[in-house]
Amino acid sequence: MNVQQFFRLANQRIAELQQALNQLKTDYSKHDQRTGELQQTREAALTELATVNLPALVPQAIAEVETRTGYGKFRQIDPIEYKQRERVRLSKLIADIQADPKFINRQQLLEPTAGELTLKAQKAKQELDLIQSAIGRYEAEPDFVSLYERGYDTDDYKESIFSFRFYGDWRRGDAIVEKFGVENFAVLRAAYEPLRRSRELYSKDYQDAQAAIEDVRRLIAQFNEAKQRLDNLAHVVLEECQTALREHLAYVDREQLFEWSKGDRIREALVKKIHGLEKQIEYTKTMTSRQMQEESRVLNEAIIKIKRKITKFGRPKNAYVTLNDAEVYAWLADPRQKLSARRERFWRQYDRVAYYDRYDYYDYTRDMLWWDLMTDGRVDGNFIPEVYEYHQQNPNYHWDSSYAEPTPVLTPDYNDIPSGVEVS
Amino acid sequence: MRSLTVVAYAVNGAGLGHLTRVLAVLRWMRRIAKCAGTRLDAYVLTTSEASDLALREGFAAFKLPSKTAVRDAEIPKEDYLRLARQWIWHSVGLLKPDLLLVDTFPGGTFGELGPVLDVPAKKVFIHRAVKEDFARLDGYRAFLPQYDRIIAIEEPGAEPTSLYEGFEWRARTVGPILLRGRDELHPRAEARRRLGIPGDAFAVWVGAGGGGDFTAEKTLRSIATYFSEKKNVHLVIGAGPLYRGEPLRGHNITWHTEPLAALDFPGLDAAISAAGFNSFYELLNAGIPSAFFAQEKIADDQSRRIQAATDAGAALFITADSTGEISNDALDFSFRRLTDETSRTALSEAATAFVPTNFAREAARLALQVVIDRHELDDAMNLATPAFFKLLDSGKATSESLERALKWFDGATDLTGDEMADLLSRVLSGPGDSDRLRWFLTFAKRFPKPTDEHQCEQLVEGWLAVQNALAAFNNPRGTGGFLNGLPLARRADFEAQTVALEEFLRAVHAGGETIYRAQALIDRHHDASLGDRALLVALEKATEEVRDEQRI
Repeated sequence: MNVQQFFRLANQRIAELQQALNQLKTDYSKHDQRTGELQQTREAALTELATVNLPALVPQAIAEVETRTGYGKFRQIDPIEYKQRERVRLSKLIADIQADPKFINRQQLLEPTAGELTLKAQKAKQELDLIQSAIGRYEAEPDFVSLYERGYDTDDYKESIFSFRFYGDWRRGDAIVEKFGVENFAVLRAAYEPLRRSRELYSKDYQDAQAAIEDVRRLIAQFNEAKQRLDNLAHVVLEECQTALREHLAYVDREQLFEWSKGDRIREALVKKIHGLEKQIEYTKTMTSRQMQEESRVLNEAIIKIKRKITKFGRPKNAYVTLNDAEVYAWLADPRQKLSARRERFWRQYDRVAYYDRYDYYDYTRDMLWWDLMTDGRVDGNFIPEVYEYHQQNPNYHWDSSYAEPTPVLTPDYNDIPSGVEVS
Repeated sequence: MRSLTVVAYAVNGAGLGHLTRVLAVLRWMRRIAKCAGTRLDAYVLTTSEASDLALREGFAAFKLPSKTAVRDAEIPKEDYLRLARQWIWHSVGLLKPDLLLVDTFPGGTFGELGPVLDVPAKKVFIHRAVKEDFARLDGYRAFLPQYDRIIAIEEPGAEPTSLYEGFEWRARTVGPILLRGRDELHPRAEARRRLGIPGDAFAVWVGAGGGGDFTAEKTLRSIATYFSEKKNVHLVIGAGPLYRGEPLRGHNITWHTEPLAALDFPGLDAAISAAGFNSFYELLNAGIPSAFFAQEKIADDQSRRIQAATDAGAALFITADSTGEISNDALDFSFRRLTDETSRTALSEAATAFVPTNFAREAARLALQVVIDRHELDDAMNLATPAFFKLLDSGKATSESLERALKWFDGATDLTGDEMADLLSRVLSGPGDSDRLRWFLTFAKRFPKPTDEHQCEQLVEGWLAVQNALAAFNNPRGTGGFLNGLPLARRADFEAQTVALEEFLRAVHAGGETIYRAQALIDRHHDASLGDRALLVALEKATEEVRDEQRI
């Protein structure tokens, strides 16, 4: 094989490898999709846990929240009292709004065709437009406004006779005067000045009318919002309490949360599920990033190796060298086949972790890692910081496969836990 | 990390002084070298029979039998000297030290160092004064010019030496070198507990140096007999690690043979002791009213030492006869003065003025000057202060955490060791039971790295304020999670952010919320697209939400 033939094959291989590199992210998009699903499931489980812990605004449920979740806010602000206070506040707010003349006359003020404020705004707008069209012919003239504002052709004009700007202004002033066909700039100023003052006046009128309209609209919105809130107050307050509790639950240490569950199987199952899902998200992210880095490294190294050969045989002294075919094919060996096999193995391990669903097997009282539970201890997880650190701190730790068997106590299937139902 | 191999050579027979002094200097050399980013690989070659002192100080000691031990074992002296010379020659040859540190005898006590002085890159000699006739020996003077640096210990009241004529520029003078300075000793109550001194008993230290002197037993016995009739007096008999006589026991006696006795000196009320270099200066440095007697030594002039102290009103001279016995009259006279309040106060004040400080750190600096770049050494000295190492040795934080903290402050080049120690002490004394330094670092790494002393101060102040706010939640596990989850804001104004963070945490706590909810609120309001201002904006919004009384 001559050098030119080698170059052709080499460049073709580089293009293929480069394409494989570019496609890496797409090839692993399944991970993004699965992460999204896991996150959604976690969000749902968190909502469910919040609902289980606070199914309704009843004293018993509220009293238990702190002992079951560590969330003490309701000890300080009793949601039932808060609801009462909120009812009073909203009722007063609604009454105040209803007594406000702007709200009482809202129809009369805002009616689209004959409303008082609507007409006022329309009129001011019309006047404004009229003035704007008259004033436009002056302001459209370049430098006119600047000359006017700097007092050109009056005693207030400050430019020195020895400055270039003075002569520039003079030239522009003469040109404008000539264009408008008047005697001098003072005539133009006399015509422009009253128009400008009128525009300021009508502009203010228009803005005031608009502000008054906004004021009434805001009042109406406030009324609607307060009414809506008052009508659904029980539901709204419960939802707010559950949201606050849910935010707290999202960050609580899982082992602590499990302890707080105090043997309640539904709560325990949900805590395990949330914890497991979080571990799945963490593990799959690390696994995927490691695999992608590895593939990227292999492909890049292959490209670099080929490029080195191209550089070597691109030298003039090698222009007419005949290359051994077998050697060339060895240089251009495609790493994608090996990568493909590795990728298959990766996806098998990935699926094992990403689709694991027996969260109830996890036991907080035993020395165990979620990683080992999900992989049954068959995959080396030392590339995951948590697993590595655990092994460093517990050198005698060994995974016991019997841990991955159902616990003797009948555990409810987490999927069957009814939302918002208090069972203990 | 760079390494520096140091071999220290200390010859001792019936005492501990040389080994103690060498260890005191090595201890500070290791500290200073560490601050200069250098690991000190130190080897101690010694003939001292109390070489476990080196082990206590964390140094590896390679030991030869002392001449006293060889004599007692009836080994032919020539055989021993032949073996000892070869052993030292091979040891130094194999270790090839960057620096050889020798105490008191520049050529060894039988010329054993002569053949090895060519091996080390640099040589430093610690010159403790010796008797005039000993110093005049050719075998002593001839070795001195071979040393790159001579650290001369100038004892208070002693005549300046003329031994360095022709190479004075290599000599530097320091005061007494001690293994522990006054600031490193145990507090009085703890010291008395450790020594087993009951209640308000008047505690008297009775010492005979390292214990190896042939008169030691007789001296200790005569003093103990005198005190046996005294009421409310407790004797702490510092027999020394080399004492081989019959131990003296009794209801009012603590029998002490451990090295590093000086650590407990603050528990004493008075002392009657031999005037060996270490006992003498350690007792005076600790401000203990003391009476000293002299033991006859080959090279050490103890009488001159005591005379200097009595002339300064810092100690009492008590005479022992040639067998070591001290008469009751002499003891009676001294004891009356040691128990008289006015006299005691005067003695104590004069003693601390006589030996105001420990020069071990300075001696270490002078020794390292010959092997470490001057600027590097100056920077390291700036950091390596007694207060800084007192903190490091306090065990209040893991060494790993401390190292990480030091790294975080390394941008502030104007920060001295004392200032660093002060900052870290404040961090370590803050609320919380867990590893406070670890939390501090987790917090600090969220914000800009300090580049000067003022910023370090701000960082610590900010942390203490935030830590106090966090302590209100009383949730160590949650606090760790909160700090770990705090978004990074390394380019924004530190002060504004910590003020906002503290305010937010206080608002969260006042609102009955948990630390977990605090984390949730920050995350919800954190908008990374705001860049440097993201955390500050998140904190302001979250605070506003927490304070909104119309929300649950």
